[in-house]
Amino acid sequence: MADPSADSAADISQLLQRWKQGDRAAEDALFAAVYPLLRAVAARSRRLDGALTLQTTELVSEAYLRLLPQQRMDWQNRAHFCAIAAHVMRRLISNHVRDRQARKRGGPAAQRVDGDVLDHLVGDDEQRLLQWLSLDDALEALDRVDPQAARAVELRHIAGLDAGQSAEALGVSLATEGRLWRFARTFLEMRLGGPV
Amino acid sequence: MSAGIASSTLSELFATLLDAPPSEREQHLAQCDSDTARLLRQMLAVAAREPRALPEPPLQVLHDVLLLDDGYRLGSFELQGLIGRGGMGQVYRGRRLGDVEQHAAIKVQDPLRIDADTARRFRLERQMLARLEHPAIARLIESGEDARGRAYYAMEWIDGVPIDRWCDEQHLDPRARVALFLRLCDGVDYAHRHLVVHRDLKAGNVLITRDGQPRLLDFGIAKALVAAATVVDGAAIDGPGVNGQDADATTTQARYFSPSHAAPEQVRGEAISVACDVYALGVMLYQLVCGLRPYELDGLSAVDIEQRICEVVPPAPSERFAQARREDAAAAAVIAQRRALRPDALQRLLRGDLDRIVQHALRKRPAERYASVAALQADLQNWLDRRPVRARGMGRWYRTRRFIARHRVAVGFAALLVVAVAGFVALLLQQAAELRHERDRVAAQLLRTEHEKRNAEQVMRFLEQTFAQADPSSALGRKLAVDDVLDTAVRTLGYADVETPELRQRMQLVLVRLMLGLQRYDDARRLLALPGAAADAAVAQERLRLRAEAEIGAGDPRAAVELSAQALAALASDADAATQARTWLMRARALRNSEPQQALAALEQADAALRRGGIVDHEFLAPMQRLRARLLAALGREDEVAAVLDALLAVQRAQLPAHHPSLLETLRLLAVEASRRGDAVGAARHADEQLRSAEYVFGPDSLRVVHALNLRGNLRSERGDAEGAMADYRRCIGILQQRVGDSHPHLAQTWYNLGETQRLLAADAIAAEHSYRRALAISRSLIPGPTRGQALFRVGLGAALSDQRRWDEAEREFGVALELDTQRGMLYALALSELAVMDLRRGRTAASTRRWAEAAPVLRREVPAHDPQRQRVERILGQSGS
Repeated sequence: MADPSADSAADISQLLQRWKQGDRAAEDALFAAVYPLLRAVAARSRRLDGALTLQTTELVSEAYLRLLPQQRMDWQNRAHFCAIAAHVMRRLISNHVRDRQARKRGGPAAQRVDGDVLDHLVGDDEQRLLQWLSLDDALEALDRVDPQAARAVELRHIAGLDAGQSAEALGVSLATEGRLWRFARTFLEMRLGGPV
Repeated sequence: MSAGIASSTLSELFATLLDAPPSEREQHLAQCDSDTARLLRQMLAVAAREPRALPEPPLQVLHDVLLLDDGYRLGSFELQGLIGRGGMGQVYRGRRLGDVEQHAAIKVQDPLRIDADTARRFRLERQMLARLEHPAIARLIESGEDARGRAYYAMEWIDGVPIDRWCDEQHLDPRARVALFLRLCDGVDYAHRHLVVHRDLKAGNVLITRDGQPRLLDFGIAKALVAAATVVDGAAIDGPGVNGQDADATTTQARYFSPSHAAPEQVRGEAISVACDVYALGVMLYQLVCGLRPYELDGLSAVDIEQRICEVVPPAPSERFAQARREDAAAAAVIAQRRALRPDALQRLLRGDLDRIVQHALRKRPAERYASVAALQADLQNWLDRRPVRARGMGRWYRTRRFIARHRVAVGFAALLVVAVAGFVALLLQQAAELRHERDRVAAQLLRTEHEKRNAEQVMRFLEQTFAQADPSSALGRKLAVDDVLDTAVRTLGYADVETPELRQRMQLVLVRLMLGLQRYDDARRLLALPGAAADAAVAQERLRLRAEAEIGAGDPRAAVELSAQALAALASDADAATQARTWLMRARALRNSEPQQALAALEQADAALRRGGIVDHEFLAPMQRLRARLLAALGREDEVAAVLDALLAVQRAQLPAHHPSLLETLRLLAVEASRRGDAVGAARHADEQLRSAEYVFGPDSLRVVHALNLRGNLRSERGDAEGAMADYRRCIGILQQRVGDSHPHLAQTWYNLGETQRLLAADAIAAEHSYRRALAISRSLIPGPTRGQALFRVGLGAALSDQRRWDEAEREFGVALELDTQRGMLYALALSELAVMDLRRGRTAASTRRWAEAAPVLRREVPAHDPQRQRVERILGQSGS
């Protein structure tokens, strides 16, 4: 599954289905497929603008177009794809930031995504990265309690989707998505804000 | 209840708890295990306080992860920024480390693809490039892997100028350009003989070095033609883009290429052969010799581009240049001057054999092009040597045949008819161009034989009516085919060498009528602006009338009134009744806005003419009655409007087939009129019938049905039928998405209508928020900048957010609307009063009163009293007792 090809478009759909049902192996395969797509899109956006402007929703839908170029827009696939892309983005960011923190402390690098770029990180201020890591930890905890709620946060907060798109990606009604979001927000608030 | 809890997820349980009164919460919690209950208790406590914003994801990091940074070292080079992207990796500019100043274009394998399979393909690509050693192709300098096993290769960095710019700077004449182009062809032919197709040939990829040598760059999306013959273990070189697969060496999958130079088979993703490079070379040659592109693709959608490339035969370079001379003589003179020629000399030089060679390279079907680059070169050499070229004689019937072939792809009844007539025009003119004698005979005969003439005119009239009835949006689905055919006919008419001016005039007027029917007013104006002295007074009068119609359509009433007067003056005393009626009807249309009273009088004249001629014809009846209804409404004689429309409906019902399209429009007007009068039942009846007819005639998912549904949705919404209205809007949205894609103004409007209904009638702020956001997103994808429409959507969105007590977000949305409406009109009034409502909800009574005092007079001036949004605002704020 290293190569998401047009011929294997059906496989991608299958993988998306399996991932949605919680298959971790499918997630790794999708990660390998989605990462280069995001990368390609990001490269283009840099090339066009010079400046580093990143529209995450655009990133996701462009990546989707590249993943299944031969297929007609299938809303269900697209929805599932949004979910995996948001998740992959979170993993990319978090792996990277953790790796960098580990290096800073002089310890061995944790799991690496792309070690080469670590030395050349353009400065994001430290405080923000730490805050992000605490959110990421909280999301991990949420994932154990209610995975769907964690997906909702990824979709809205990382991929930048609105409630309706998020509901579509999760395959739930708008009302259910609203409940997931409310639950997630309260859960994260609890984890981030310390004891009441 | 307990069963429900057992099966629900935590988030649902939590929602239940939140909504339950505290006394019942313990009951629910008692049924959870102790860990869950503890979690939920904690969360309930947290839920009481306002949540803070979540830490923003550091997206900057994401970007960094996704790119290699400057200064990164690969082999003997360090990277200096990304310059492009190819199959399986990115391309960076590299600078050699150490003292020697050397640059390279470095392609780096995507780091996540370090598996056996992609590594092998990348290696094959390197090998392929290493094999290509030719003076016209950029060289491979170095290849290798970095410490982590990431493969890369470095290509020679060419310091040069793109071929088109270089030729212009040097003022090369077309012969010198062709000679230079032939040297480039050497390189392409060499690659082909090594079984490599470039696939992205364009001027930007051909640099001319200081010593005047062409160098071909960027085999980034090149591919091997035959797998097993030259490539180890049968794998092909990787295709473009991110898809590393490419088992079949003869088809593309990801389509990365420059649309301006892409061959039809490339656009369609079909099998790729050397013919694809031949085509791209043809495009390049086209531009080199005549200075213009075969197609203008700027600003077109992907679908339009594909259609252009796959269906439209480009004009010959000499024709294209001639057209440019007509449109912008100064620009054409510059083009010629850069070719060291005068414009007429350039046009003469292009015309004939060079035209044919270029066109032969640009054939739609790969098999019809030159079989190899060598064959193209041979013919160009023939041209340079002033010998006969082989492309001559291959193209005689090509255009005609293509035209006929196009008929088969055309979809839909009206489209087929246009093809038939436009094809007839084109064929006739084609013959004129190809067979001089035949042409004269046929044309003369056509005009002479009364029978033929009547037949032709009947067909044309029927056709025009067909178009007049099909509104442009209903033709949207088949817009491409119809427009294309018309464009082709117009072009043929413009260029073909017709010697009987009368025939040309008539053809021109047929096309003008078709353009008017399709509401392409500017095209009609342009056609009418073409010179044509009419010998025939009747033709001249018709021309005047059509010019007036074009101005009416294009929205220049002053010119229309002036021309309508001229057309009336030119009306012969013995003109037939239909012509008289047509002219008076046009006159009425020209005056409809400025002088409704006079327009009504003109309609009477048209009526009188019809009566004199004993004509009862639906061509006149429906448009005249509708116009009459409109004029009566404008004159304040509203009580007569319904009577006129009812009478029209009765005649139409009696005389037309049950679902005739003309009935639809009458029903629509009746529904709107009934609704205006406050007759909800009548409006609903007419709207329902219109919808049923539209479904029957145009199909359940036609755009006509969309209009009918939207109207019914609005009527239902006005009546307070939220469920019915929402169902109508949703169906509209479904059809639109299917038919016109995800971004279309209708779609944005329908989402907005849905949002309004959800918020104001169904009190579902969350769903409404979603709908408004869709409307806004679509609208912004069409026009990024803030527009009044978007501001209106934002007022709705703000109100939906306010309903959800999301004050800050709501305030932002209202702010945009306030800022945009500098005239302090409707948007200002709505946004300000919604802000007042929000203040009230937040307990800021004083601020609310202040804002409402400011908003109320504007609201009462700008927004009608029955508007539901105004009513709601007034209800809330009025009660607060300002």
